[in-house]
Amino acid sequence: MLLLPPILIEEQVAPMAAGIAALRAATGLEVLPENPPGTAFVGDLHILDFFGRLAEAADTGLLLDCAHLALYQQLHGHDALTGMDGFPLDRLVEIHVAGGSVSDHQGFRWVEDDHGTVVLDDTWRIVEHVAAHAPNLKAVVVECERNPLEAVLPLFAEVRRRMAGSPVLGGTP
Amino acid sequence: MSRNVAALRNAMARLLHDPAFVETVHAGPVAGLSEAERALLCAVDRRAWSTDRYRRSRAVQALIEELPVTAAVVGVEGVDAFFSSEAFGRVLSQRGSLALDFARWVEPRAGAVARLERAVAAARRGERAPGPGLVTRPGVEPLLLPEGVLAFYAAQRQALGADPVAALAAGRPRVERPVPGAGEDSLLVERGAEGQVQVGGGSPALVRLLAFTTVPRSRDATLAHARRLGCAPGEDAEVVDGLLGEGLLVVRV
Repeated sequence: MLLLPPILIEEQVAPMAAGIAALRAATGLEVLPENPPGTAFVGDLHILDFFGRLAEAADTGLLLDCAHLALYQQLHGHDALTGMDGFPLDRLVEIHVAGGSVSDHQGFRWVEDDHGTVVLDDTWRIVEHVAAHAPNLKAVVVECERNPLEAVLPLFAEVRRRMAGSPVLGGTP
Repeated sequence: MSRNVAALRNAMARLLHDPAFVETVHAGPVAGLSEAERALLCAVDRRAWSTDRYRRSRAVQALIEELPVTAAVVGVEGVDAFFSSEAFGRVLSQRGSLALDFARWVEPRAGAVARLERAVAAARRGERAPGPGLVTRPGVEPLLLPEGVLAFYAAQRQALGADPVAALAAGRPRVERPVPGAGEDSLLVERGAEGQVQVGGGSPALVRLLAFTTVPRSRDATLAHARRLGCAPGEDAEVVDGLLGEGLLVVRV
């Protein structure tokens, strides 16, 4: 199966929202769209604007993968928090945190979403911003499969420390 | 001016698999893409499309694994060529299956063995068009093939051994597509409870009737088709009810 990021244009919002609504109706479960990783994003909307509009159109919550967002921002030469001002953080239910590594392809630099244990500084900035401003956050997922236990335990401790500013999850064991 | 999401996704799939198409898009107007759509694609750094060096190779491998004898006929390069075709781009926009669409695309070159392996792949997936009515059970694929193709398939599949990808990647010579016999084999390709796919025989009329109902049909339309295939009035309902009893036909509401 070929997984592609959505086309980040206004015309993609309504059909994708309809798909989310149909999936929610068919399963009886909430469906939280997640910003994907990638090296090639097509469209004239910032990915946060796109997912914000999508959440409004589908009247649904959101999953923000902080590592995916960091790689998107770096790919486009943006600051880690670009686009956050218009993003509906009140709809954010779940976030993902993961390590990434910088790769180079013919001089083109991009971040590989490798789920390693080294989390980019930009990812941590996004985590801390979200922790402080997302009032309905319910879950933090640390994606670190295929790493030895002793390598990932400090990562969990660091995530807990970075989430300390969260009004809802701060201090959660 | 509205931009076509399906056309953009189609192009995006091709750009990720076909470096030549990247150059085409950057060079000038492309059939099926408006200039506004092409501008969106050209805004992406062209190197971004090829960061995964093995994406196309993995896709070729997946197709060889699923349609090994077809691949033996057209060669690895014949499989690889699919990813430079417009047909490949349409897989996404039409929400198709890569293996099934590849089989359809390659059949003019590979012959009926592609249709056989397509039926095996379809049985494995067990999908049917939505809608109410009588429908051939998902996982059962009726198939009419020129005489000799099934034997050719069995012989070639055995010759390829346990690892067809390795055999073909090692430079195994292409095999000639089979010369179709004068007769016709009527077959049922069926996925078993454990997921294994078996090929068995059926009467031509039975296979044709089950082919008719691979898309949902009303009972009246199914009975009428059974009569066209030779059932006497009264016998048509007996045949259809028999297929329902055997589970070869199912009722969708």
